[in-house]
Amino acid sequence: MTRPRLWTAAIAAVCASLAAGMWFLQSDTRPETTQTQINWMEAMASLSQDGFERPEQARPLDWPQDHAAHPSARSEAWLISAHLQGPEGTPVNVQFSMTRIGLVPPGSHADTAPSIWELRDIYRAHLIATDGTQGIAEERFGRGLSGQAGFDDALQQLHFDNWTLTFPDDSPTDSWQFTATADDFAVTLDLQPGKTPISPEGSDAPFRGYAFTRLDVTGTFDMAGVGQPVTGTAWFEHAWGELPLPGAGPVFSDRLLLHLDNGDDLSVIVSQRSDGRGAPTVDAALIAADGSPRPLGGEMSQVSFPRLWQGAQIEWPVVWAIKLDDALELQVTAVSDTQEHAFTPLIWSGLVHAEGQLDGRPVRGTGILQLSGERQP
Amino acid sequence: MTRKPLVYTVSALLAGGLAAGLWALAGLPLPFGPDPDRSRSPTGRVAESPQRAGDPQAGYTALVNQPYVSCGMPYSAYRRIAPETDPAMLLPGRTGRNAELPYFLTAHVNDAGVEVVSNNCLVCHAGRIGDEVVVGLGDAFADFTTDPRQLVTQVGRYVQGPDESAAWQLWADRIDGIAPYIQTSTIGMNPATNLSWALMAHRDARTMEWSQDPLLDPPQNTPVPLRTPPWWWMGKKNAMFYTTIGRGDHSRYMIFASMLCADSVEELAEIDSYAPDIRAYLADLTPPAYPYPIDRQLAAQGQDLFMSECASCHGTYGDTHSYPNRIVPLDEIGTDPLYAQTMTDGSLDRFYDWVDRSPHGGTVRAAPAEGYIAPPLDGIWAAAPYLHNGSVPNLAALLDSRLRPTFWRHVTPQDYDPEAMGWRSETLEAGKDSVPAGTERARVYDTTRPGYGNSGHTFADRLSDTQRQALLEYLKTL
Ligand code: HEC
Ligand code: HEC
Repeated sequence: MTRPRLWTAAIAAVCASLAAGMWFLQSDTRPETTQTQINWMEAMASLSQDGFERPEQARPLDWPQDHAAHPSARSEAWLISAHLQGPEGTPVNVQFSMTRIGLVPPGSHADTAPSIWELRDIYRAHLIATDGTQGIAEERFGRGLSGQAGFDDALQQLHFDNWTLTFPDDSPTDSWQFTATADDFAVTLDLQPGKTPISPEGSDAPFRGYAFTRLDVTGTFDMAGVGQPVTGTAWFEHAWGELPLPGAGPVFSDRLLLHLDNGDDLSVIVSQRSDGRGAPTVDAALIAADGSPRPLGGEMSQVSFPRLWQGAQIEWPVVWAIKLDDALELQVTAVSDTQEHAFTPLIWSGLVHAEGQLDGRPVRGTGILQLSGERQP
Repeated sequence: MTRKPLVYTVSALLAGGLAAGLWALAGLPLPFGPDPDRSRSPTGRVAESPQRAGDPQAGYTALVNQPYVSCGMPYSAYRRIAPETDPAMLLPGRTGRNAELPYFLTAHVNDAGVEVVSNNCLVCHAGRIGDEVVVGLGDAFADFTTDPRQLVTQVGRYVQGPDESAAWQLWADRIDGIAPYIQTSTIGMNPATNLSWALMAHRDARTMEWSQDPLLDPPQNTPVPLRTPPWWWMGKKNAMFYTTIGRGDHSRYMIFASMLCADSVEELAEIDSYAPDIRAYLADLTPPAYPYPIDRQLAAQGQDLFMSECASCHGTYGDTHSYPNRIVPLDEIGTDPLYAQTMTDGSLDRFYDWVDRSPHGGTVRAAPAEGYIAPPLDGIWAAAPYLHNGSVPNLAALLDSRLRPTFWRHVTPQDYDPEAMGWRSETLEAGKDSVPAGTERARVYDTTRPGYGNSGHTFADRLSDTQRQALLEYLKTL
């Protein structure tokens, strides 16, 4: 069947939103301070699907192999977000994301191509960490050459310099390691997959992906010379193929990831028209403790933004009120309003708490909101 | 469940001639006031009204190639979501890009040079029998239960550049305007009539100009559920639609599907230039033959019964056929009254008036009756589920009301049951409330819901089982 259908499957919502998070790729407000000579915008402008492959939907995914890069896909993204607590109950968040853009499809000859094509891939990484009162946020761009950035197959490691996410060799139950350092900051996390991963099999999307929506986390978190042990949960996603290039078109999407205290995980994407017209659309899914996804919002979905916070240029919706079917009602509030990051372009991405009702029972949650920068003032 | 990108188009659309349109444009008073009798029809026989002649073959070509629905999604974004077309979805007689698109989509290049694909009439009016797409068969499996804005957003993620974005925005605006009125609760049920009211609410009747804010009180949110009828009955019918609301020039009603996007009187006139051909094609259409063995002797016994029990309403078949065009009042037919009641209780009169004020006002008229037309039964074997609301899954149950399930759902994938005569279904213990929200609930046909009732039309109840068997066998031959 190649009839386009709504990607209603819950899981599609998960990966579609990772794709939706790709908006940063099309920015024309790149600051001068990036660390590489790569002309990101030029690379974007010459993006072409030619030679890249649409991922085969029928192939079953296989881990750890599918954690690795898929060079035949034009674009690829990895995201991990850990929602942690220090010994005093301090809320701590660590986010790491990597994006790969393929410039030359595998099998073509770089030496016959114009200069931009000397690069096979370019990478961009974000590290965001906060303990509720202070935080760091760093963005890096790099080429996939010279081991600086990419996925190292031998080490089973996704890395950008000294930011690394390492997957165990073959055992699906072994824990993963994340380490990162930046100015006055260091983090080490041990991540243990809890739920079976979900992926949108048979979807009509031009990309593939999967999510480990809950990993159990222990580690250490060092900020401004003060170290503390942390524990909590993390969410991991990975998608590749033809991820949409938001910012090029008329839609932008905001993303909410929540770990609920009843063991469910919630993914919500709210998409809006960048011309400010129309009603937002909502794709949402709950992933139960046993890993089974449940789409929400089929009958009714309401998301409103009771409070906006004025950032450097944009008013960000830092409080969300969500109602999905008769099942879920949540108020989601930023732990701190000032989680705006001067990336390419400006984004708001940070820790949130949620409180409400699920299936008639009180529920609380912790997670992140990722707000994109294209909204109309 | 299969699902098609639904650029909702209208069918149940009502309007009248260009001549009257010119009056309207000149700001002259219309030749008729808001006369309630004008927008109601009596039950009983529907009189014939003259139709413009057309060329059926040119009609088919226009139907599958012309952009009468002119807004939709940029082709390049569409191909991101659907890179290949299943060969079973292709139709003969399509030209250019259309030759490679699935039957329910039509491509054209807009004024800004963007290639746009839009749904055509076949999104509702073609269905599958076995491996074949049958043009004119209502799609009993079309899914209008989810919010179409979600698809619009998904497509929007793959739209690039200002021209494509502008084309997408036009489409998104229209879907946004109609989305609140076109969600049904059951797969297979069609919201076309409510959709048409929603479009009228958003359009200036005289200029056809779109207004993002409704200009008339919009219709109720919940569409009355409808089964899409087959087109091949139109050769016999003097008025269109279950309540015979569509009076006058049929070609102008049916082509009102373009109202989603046709933004000017000129665009409407352009479409009207080939509309008579499309009407001629529909009127010429013959049903597919019953594909399984038929017991001719039993069928002949059934024919005798049919002549005595059924023909007075449904007509006669064969070489010397006849069709009475008879509307049966609600109290006599006893089927779910909601559709005919909402059409005639005055709650929609502002839209009938819109029709009169529109460019086609005068040659067509919206005048429903408080009852339902007894349809021709040609190709009835394929037109399941039965009655105007599709509440009865097969002909065996239509002929014996004791067999009608209160709760049921179609078996997927779609499969024909030659014994019961209908798409194979299963009876359920409980209704929609017993199933969690989502696709599974949407599959449940719950006859206890308003508009979904399966009562009435008990004419064959008093016959014996053998007599009903004979009747069923005869219906296979039609
Ligand atoms: C959104 C689905 C949909 C689309 C698109 C659609 N129709 Fe229909 N059509 C219906 C439904 C439902 C009915 C039955 C309404 C009623 O009888 O009240 C209908 C009825 C009709 C009838 C009357 C049949 C009869 O027996 O009375 C004709 C003729 C028709 N449509 C032609 C068209 C044409 C031509 C187009 C395209 C220009 C079109 N329709 C597009 C859903 C649709
Ligand atoms: C008094 C007139 C009348 C008689 C007699 C009558 N019918 Fe009908 N029939 C109707 C009407 C009116 C409808 C449409 C009802 C509706 O859609 O709600 C209908 C619908 C049907 C349908 C379903 C059509 C569809 O659109 O799904 C079938 C099949 C049918 N009749 C067969 C028969 C047979 C067989 C007999 C004889 C045993 C018979 N009818 C006797 C008036 C009649």
